[in-house]
Amino acid sequence: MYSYSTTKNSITMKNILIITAVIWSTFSLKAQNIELKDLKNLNTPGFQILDIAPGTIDRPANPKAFAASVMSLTNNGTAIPKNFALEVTPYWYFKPKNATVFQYLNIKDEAGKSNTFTGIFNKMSISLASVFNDSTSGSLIKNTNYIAFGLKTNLITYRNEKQNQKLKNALANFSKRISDLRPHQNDADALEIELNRIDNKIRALYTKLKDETDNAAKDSINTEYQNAIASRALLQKKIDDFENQAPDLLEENIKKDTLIQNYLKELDDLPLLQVDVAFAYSEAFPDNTTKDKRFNRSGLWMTAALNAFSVDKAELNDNLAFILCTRFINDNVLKEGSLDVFKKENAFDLGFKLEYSIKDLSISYEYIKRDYSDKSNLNSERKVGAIQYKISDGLYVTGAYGTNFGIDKNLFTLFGINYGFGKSSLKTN
Amino acid sequence: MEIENYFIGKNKKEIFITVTVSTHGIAVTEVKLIINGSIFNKGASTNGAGLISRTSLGFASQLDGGTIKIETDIVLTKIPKSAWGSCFENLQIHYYLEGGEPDQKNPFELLSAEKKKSSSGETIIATKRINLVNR
Repeated sequence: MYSYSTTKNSITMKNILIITAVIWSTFSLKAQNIELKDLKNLNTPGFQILDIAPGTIDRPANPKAFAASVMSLTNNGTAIPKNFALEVTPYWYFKPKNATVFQYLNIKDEAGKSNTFTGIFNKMSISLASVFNDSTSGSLIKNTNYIAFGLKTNLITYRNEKQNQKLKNALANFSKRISDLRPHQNDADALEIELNRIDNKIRALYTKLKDETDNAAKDSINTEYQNAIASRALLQKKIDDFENQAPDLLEENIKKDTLIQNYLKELDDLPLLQVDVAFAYSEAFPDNTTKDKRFNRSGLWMTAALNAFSVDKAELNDNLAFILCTRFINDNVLKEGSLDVFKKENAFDLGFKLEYSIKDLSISYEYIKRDYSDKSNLNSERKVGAIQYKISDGLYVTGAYGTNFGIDKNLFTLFGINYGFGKSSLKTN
Repeated sequence: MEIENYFIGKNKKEIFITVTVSTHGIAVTEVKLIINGSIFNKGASTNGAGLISRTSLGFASQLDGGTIKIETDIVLTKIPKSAWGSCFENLQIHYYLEGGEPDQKNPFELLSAEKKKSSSGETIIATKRINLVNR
């Protein structure tokens, strides 16, 4: 997964190659698919409020797993947990009625109903995060455990008519194609015909048995009836075995089929406009104890992404995104000349990110200016350039360089390999 | 596997089927009629939501002894992996039949034994069989 470093140590190309090779050889065969969109979503509000990128994120799939994750963090109540990241999407814990793919992909449905706002519930996520540094880094003070809670959701996902139509066509083509990929259709049909024949035979024998008055004839019919039921049980077992294997076989066929993979890829088309909002709150625990705990920072922010530009969408599958970011922050800042006296300040962040992606490569630059309401000497900027490259399915290399918020020791470097397997991070200090 | 029957009645009424699927995955439904040793495709969804709009299966007088098999394939590739388990648990499919005897079970629902998933959880196949019979 990701790692981050705030030291000034540079990473040599040789090291990068060695690390890449080791990870590649160890994990490439086992790598699970991670979508690019998942990587881009790694920044949960809980981490963003602390101005850091996450090392690991646990995403429990159900309430039981969520409870287990929370319990595992508490260390039986003996210490405040540190360095963790937990994100849940409550929507998936409920049984939605009338859910459709149109709602999830924010496409107009068949009746022409817009699904611009459906992300508010189905993409809402809650995050919990902690970071403990043994050295001062940016706005984070040494030997302090910062714990943050965050909530984010997608407010608007708007697709224009052309985009709606493109995605609908992809879904229609997918639907047509899948019937050719169903495994062993002829065998399945033969089993169905046999099942129907036996069911009708059983029903006919049952009627015959009911109407028969002669005992000898009844015995003979009954034997035939019992044999038919036994044959049906055998056939049902065959069908069950077949149906148990079918999902894996269908999945295999889908993965191998270039046509259907292209239709799936078309569904990744970015919407014209996407607006996300988030809230986060954090507290600081000096020396990781509750004795001197203090409010650290809270924030409410919005990002709006406009994906309206490309050089040659059809040929290059490229996209230039302009992302606007605004953020209101209530910050508890260390008083000048003091080591442990803090004062609350309000800050406003305004910035942008320009991101150009072409095939497997994405290059971005972000600039955010943070202004404090009455302490202009604390004003600072975050300027980070990043590059991300997809080596293969589930294996990405990310590099970033720039300056983070804060006045000193704010150099920001990041080098990470996301190999989509396990949760250990690769540190490159 | 539970055997479910729909009583089509003895008159010459036309029997219809409607299928609705509740999932955020991409769903594709296909309806087949198996009767007298043959299989007939009665319809397939075309929009990715698995919906089969009101579709005629034929007239009751021609359907006695038939079985309808409704297969829905659901692909969760576009859903976060962490939600695949929930999607399987929360999958709902309703099968509405009309034209048969009054006051009988409707809609039929997908039973838990009728859905299977791949080892990864990314692909689900739901199969429903309903026998069309005369009392």
